[in-house]
Amino acid sequence: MIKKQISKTKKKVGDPGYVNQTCWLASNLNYPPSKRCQYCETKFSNCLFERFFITSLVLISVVLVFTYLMEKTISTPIIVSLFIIIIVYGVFFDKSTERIIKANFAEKQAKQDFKKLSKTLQQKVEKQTKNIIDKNVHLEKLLEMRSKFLDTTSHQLRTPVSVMKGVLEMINTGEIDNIDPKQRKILMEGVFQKAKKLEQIISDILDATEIDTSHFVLSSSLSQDLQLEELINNVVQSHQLDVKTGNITLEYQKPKKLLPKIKGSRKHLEQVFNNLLDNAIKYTPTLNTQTGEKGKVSISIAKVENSVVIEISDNGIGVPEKEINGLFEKFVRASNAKEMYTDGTGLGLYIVKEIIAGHSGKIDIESNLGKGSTFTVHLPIQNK
Amino acid sequence: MAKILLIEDDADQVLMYKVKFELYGHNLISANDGIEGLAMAEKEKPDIILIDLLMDKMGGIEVLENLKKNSEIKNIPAIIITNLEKQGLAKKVIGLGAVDFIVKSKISLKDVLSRIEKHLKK
Repeated sequence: MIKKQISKTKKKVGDPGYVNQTCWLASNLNYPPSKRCQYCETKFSNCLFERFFITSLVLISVVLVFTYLMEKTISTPIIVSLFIIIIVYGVFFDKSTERIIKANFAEKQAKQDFKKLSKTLQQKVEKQTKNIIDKNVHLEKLLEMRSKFLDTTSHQLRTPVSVMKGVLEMINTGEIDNIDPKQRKILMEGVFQKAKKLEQIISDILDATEIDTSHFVLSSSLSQDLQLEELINNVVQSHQLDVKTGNITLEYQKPKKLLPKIKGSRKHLEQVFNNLLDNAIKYTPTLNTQTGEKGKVSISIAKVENSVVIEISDNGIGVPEKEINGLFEKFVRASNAKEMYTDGTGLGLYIVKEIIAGHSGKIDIESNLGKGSTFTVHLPIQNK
Repeated sequence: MAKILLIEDDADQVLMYKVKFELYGHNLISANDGIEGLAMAEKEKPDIILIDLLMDKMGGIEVLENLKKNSEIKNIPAIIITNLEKQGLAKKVIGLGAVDFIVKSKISLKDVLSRIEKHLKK
């Protein structure tokens, strides 16, 4: 029982920290493990120092006896013995030293590998941490935008409601009959416009929510063969009154030849061009104070390679350069647009981008602050 | 009969309050933005000022702050009348010197008028 316990506690060959007690280097010079022969911790029978020691002893004894018997002198066997020691040392001990060096080198290499691994791990952890921080910042930004959106949208939803409620209250109390007929007419028209505005906001919110839950994809049920120049002509015509009110000019450059038809949803593409034209007209003043130009919006359409390209340009307020990239994101409005008109959900261009993407197209913007913007829509022509 | 200044950028709302208040014998003058509103307050010396919050050029909070800095008009009671409703907003505007905070869509025109008249009597 006790023997078993001793054998359990006694380190065996191959155990970590095992020291071959018969190894002269290990036991007498108290060499640290890093300087020991690798066999010291593996196989007792392979200890090179022991081999060298025993081999030398045997050879020297044989040579001493042999040469003494032959020569009957002691000097020659001693010289021969010294040679043997040098040769055996060279063959065995040097190899042992080489192995010690190799062991040290391997240890150093392992340390370096470990350091490298640690560094790589650290870099990975740092990268992941940065990603998490970036995502958090993005999330915080989204939450802030959402909060601003809720504030402004609730304000925009309540504004028409308050006018409608107020006018209805006056109708209900009969007060409306006591006001000037001209003012009454303006008030009623105002209520109608407010109802339209309310419908537009609700529609934007619903469209954006629908796009959020299932990205707009042009399904076969929605897809029609569309002559885009006709569709755009209708959109342009529907904006003539707005252009007149804003006292700006609207120019539509129709193509000389009929363009190839594209596959698309009429309803959604009308929404896209209505929105882009609305924005262009809304943010183009009668007179551009920076350039001195009279307000102008132009729309052109052409076939470029395998796409129909529609450009909507204006010489309006433009977009600050650093805000251009985020302009198609949800709830985002250019800062100068917010200054010009406090209302707006920041959903219009997001919806536009998603509808165009659903048609496998793309939209680009070029803008100069104070000088105007150009929105370019590319819609692919489907090969039949 | 009181002279009421309404600083509001929505023409439909201005007309609605104008016809309502005039039916009850008040005179409503209006300004389209904050800068114009402050100038008008100084010139017209109204009995009460109604200020919208979200406006182009100068927002309602800034108008209120400027109003309270101007010794000529700082004692005119100012009411914030808005459709913006945020936690702590009412407390903030009262702290800045407004006498009342009204969310337009939440109360009737009749109640808006009674709140104004209540402050006019003070």
